[in-house]
Amino acid sequence: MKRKKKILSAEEYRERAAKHRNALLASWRIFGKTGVFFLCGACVLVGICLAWFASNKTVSSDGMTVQGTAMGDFELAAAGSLSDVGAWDDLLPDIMTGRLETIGEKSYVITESSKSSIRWAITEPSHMENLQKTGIYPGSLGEITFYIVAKKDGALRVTLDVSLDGATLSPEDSLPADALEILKGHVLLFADYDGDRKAYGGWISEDAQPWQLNLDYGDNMSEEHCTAVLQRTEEEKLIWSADNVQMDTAYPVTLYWIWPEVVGEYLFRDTKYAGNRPLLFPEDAGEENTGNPYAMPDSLLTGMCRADEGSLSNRYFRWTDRESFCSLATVSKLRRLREEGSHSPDYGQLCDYYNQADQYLGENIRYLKLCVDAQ
Amino acid sequence: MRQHIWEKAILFLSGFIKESGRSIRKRGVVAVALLLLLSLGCIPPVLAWFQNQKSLQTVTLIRDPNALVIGAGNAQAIKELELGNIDVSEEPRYRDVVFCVYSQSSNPYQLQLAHTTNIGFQYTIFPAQKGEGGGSSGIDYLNNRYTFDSGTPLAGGYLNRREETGLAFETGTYHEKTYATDDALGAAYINVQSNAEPLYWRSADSIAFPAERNEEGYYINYYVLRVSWGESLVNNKETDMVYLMVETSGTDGQ
Repeated sequence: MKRKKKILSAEEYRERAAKHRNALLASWRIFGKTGVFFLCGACVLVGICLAWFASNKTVSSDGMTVQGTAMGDFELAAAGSLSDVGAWDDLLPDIMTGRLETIGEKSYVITESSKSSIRWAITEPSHMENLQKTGIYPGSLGEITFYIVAKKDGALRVTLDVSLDGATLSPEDSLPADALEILKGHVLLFADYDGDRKAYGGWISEDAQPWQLNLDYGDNMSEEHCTAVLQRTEEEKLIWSADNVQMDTAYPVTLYWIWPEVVGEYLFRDTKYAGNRPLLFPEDAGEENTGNPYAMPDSLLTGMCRADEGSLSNRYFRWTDRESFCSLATVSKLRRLREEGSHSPDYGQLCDYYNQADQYLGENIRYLKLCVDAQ
Repeated sequence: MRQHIWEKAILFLSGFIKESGRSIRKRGVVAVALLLLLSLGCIPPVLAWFQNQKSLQTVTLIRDPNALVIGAGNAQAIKELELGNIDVSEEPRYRDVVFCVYSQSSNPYQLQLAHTTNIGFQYTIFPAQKGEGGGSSGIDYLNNRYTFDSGTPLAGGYLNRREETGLAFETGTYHEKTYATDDALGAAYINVQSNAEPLYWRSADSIAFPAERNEEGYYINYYVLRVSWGESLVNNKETDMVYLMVETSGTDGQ
């Protein structure tokens, strides 16, 4: 039943209006004391956010640029010109072409605040067989170089994340997770290569152990001598650090990539067993070799022997019968293989597991993406 | 008189704050709300930080390994390489055949030859060139002309050949495992006759392909395999197995 509205007199109306006004004024007073605090907080946050995004989008013409602790301190670059693009760069749709910058007498394609993620300039000495439409396959190897361009003087520390990933022609194509795992174990990245003994050092992988490499930029750089340290830390981070960089100087970091043709390249210590192929881990792990970039990490052997229940592959091998794989792939047998070389009767079978993994990788992943992130 | 929505909001907020001043529970709620607001506010700067990271990317193709192939003559089918029906009474006392190693990749390789020793042939490999200019000796083979220098065979050597006998060393772990020896009887072979153990020959160094591809797009090297025999050899009913093998040795570039 609808309630009948009470008819108020003029006096009652005035009283009610005054009450309402007082209530509103009281609310405003309380709001003035505390609500302003909320509003100010919100304004400060919005301001901070805008500043961050602005720092990413504007050049410092209006003096509004807000720089992060290390963010404006360096840029990433690759030597070359804007036309030095990779043969399959069309598969990187969201990626921009960097800005051309001449440093010294060399030209670089470089990131900048508005282009933080750019395509790698691909040139004759620095490529992943994507200069022409060659492509990579088991047994291919090479090097690819990027540059850390200092945008300040003094100490600089850059955290790098170097990753390999599968790529497909269309985004909706999915890649099997086990094939991506094999990709990580079969296409390897190193930070150092010793041409005299055909050996790789400074493995960049989840299965690697801490190591440290000293980089000397004395010859390349014109004025002041600069050394840097590239290291894989206990926290599994890849860090490039230098004490005395010069502004607008490009410091090269070369990645040596290899798709080992045979599993012996991982295991053997002596080139005579690997058939003149390079060796990935020529030295043994041990206390005296802690931090040695050329030492074989124990985690490699355990990774090679890993066979999860119901799985058909790990990062290095693929099998059809898990039990026979487990009986062959044990850390002690792999260690013995390292001593005995290719004469070991187990070696042939292990090669077969390695080849099966290569086959599975080739059947399931068509393109490979190399990405270097730096912070 | 209607209250505006913002008036209602302010009334609610001020009432809530006023009330919360009196209740510990509500104070807690306000604190949590404030914290939530703050952490929500932190998300954009964090995202912005990640956006600010620098990145270089490139992409390449994964493809099949290059086949390293042995062909007859000028990359013709290997079945064309004919070594049967050698008449050892013919002159000259050798038979030359031409084979090639080719690939789409320029990776260096090692050439291997294995053969049994029933007949008593010698096998020599000479690097050759298609057309003139490869040396003083020439051969027409499968519709092409090849030249080579018969004084300079391809560098290499047998891995298991005993000079005195010209046969395989009848010792060693793998010999014993494969052919079974009986020390008591002094027998170096139990399972097979000694000439059936093959000799293994391997080129001394990695062999590089020429810098340029041929007109078919292959890197290609030509060889002459010379099968020769001495004066004393007569036709017999023996058979030898001859294997030509090629294996990549390392890779180019480094």
